[in-house]
Amino acid sequence: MSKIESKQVNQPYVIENKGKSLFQVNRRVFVDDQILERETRKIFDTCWIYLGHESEIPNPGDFLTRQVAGKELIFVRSREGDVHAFFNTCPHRGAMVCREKQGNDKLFVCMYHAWSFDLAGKLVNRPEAKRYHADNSDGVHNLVPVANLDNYRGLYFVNYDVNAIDLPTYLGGAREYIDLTIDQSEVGMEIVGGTQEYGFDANWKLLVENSIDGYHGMPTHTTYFDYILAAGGQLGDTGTKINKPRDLGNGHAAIEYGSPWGRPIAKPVAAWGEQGEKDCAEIRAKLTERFGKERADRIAYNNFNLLIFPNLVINNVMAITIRTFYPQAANKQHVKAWALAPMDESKVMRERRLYNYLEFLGPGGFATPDDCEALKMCQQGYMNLKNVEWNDISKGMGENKQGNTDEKQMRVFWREWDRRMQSAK
Amino acid sequence: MNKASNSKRPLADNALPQSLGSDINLRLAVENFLYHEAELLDTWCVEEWLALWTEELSYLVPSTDKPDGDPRKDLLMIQDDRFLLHQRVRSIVNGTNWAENPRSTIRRSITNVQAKVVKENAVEAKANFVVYRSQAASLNIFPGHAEYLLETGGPEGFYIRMKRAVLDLEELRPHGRVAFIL
Ligand code: FES
Ligand SMILES: [Fe+2]
Repeated sequence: MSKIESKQVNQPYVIENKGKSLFQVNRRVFVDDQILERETRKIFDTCWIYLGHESEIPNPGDFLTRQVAGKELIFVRSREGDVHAFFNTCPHRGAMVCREKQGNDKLFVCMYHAWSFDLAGKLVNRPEAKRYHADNSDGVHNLVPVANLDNYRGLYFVNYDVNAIDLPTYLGGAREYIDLTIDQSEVGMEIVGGTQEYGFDANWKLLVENSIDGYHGMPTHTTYFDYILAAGGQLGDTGTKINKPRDLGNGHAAIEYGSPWGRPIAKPVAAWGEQGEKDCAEIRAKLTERFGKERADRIAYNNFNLLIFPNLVINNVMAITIRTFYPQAANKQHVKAWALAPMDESKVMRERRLYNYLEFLGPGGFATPDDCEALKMCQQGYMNLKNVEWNDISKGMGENKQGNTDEKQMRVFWREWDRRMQSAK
Repeated sequence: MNKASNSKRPLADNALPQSLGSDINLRLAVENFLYHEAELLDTWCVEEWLALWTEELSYLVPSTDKPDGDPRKDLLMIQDDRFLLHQRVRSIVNGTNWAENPRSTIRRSITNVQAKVVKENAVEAKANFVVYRSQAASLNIFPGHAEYLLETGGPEGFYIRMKRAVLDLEELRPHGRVAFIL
């Protein structure tokens, strides 16, 4: 038994004391590399992990390479149009077979000894092939696909566990929010060109908490709310009254709420002028036609921050961001973020969307850098772990009604995280 | 000014001394201006820096995987117009920009300056930069180049209409963000 396991027996990761309405997380879970090693096995190697969006490889032959939860993958659409995910390593002696970030091709040719593979991963050629007596009928010399690849409404996920449950079951209640997002367009959604890739010194779970934390808005994001006021927005004018954190099962959670900001899907702000009002009314009318008023309004007006356990966040706010993040070490993470938008959006609405996105989101935006700073400060605070051991996630416990500024949604994550970490498997 | 005598000298008579018509002098004038800009930024005189801009403006920092990103079509990291840039400066002055409060120490080197007159009163300039940012125990380096569209005039010789700062980084790691001004 390793050191951490013996410690863990005495000291739980998570304590939930319903009688005292107290929920605590041991700060070790943010700093201990052995816990990270366990997370890799118990969480990242068994959960469905986001790989990419179908629009990133729209045409036969399109591929991209991506590091996903510590593994090098190729995400490719074959000549026949079906989508594959392979481990990006040569079955010969291991070199990364595909060295470009993205492109379109007919074959992958390994630079080392020039074995070549078709886009379905099959070995098609190798120099001095006659010197090989073992044939490849069992596929031993093909690229190795990930155990499971599936998509839900264009969002592709991988799962490295051969015994994994299917993706729709895994997503459970989170599907409701994915639907609300994808239903924005009749034609389909697409990733906008340009990836925000950044990283900083804070444990990945701190970004999980932060991404669904309604409590920190005002203090952390003063810059942003100053901006909204200066832009003529009114903080009280939120369009919808809903304020209820949701437990979506399997560790997924969401907060849904109204907002003072504009939404390029049908909630205009003053800065967009009369034309903006008209454009939005048109989109809303179309949504109403497709879904009826109630659902159309929900799609148009309601914001949400959705966490899909363990490390995918879809924030449908002043724009839509898909954000995923991976641990590099217990105290370091790597973040990738994209903008998702309706394919059939007008040029001017796309411009408004991108402007909106950058007023809040991303490493140069008016809010994300402050989150990043807060998380770094937490991580640094955990240097005092020996003397100050526990984080408190109790807000709202014991109350009949939970609001978005309570911490219920974080407790949903931590319970599932703890359950998986304790599992014997 | 007799434009026919030298097509490279369409600068307004009163904007710059006549002697700045030659390429070298133009470059020196632009260099002076960029050094001045650099000093204002490194010393956190961001309000004075804001005065260097024209009324209509754009300050752009593209995503690291799309250095030629177009703000109307692509996702950038920063695309400020006057209003946003003003807010950005305000957040630094007010201290609500937590990533730069307490302020980091920044120091930039500007080199390889090139400049050419593109039309009456308008100069296109390019320069390499390296910004060193240190805060607490960490030092982050931001290498890259900046493209400018300048207009002649004002006490410093030019106004900035457009600045596009392109980072030579594949990812913003371990920097995490750009919360000061590049
Ligand atoms: S390692 Fe790829 S061909 Fe040898
Ligand atoms: Fe935040």
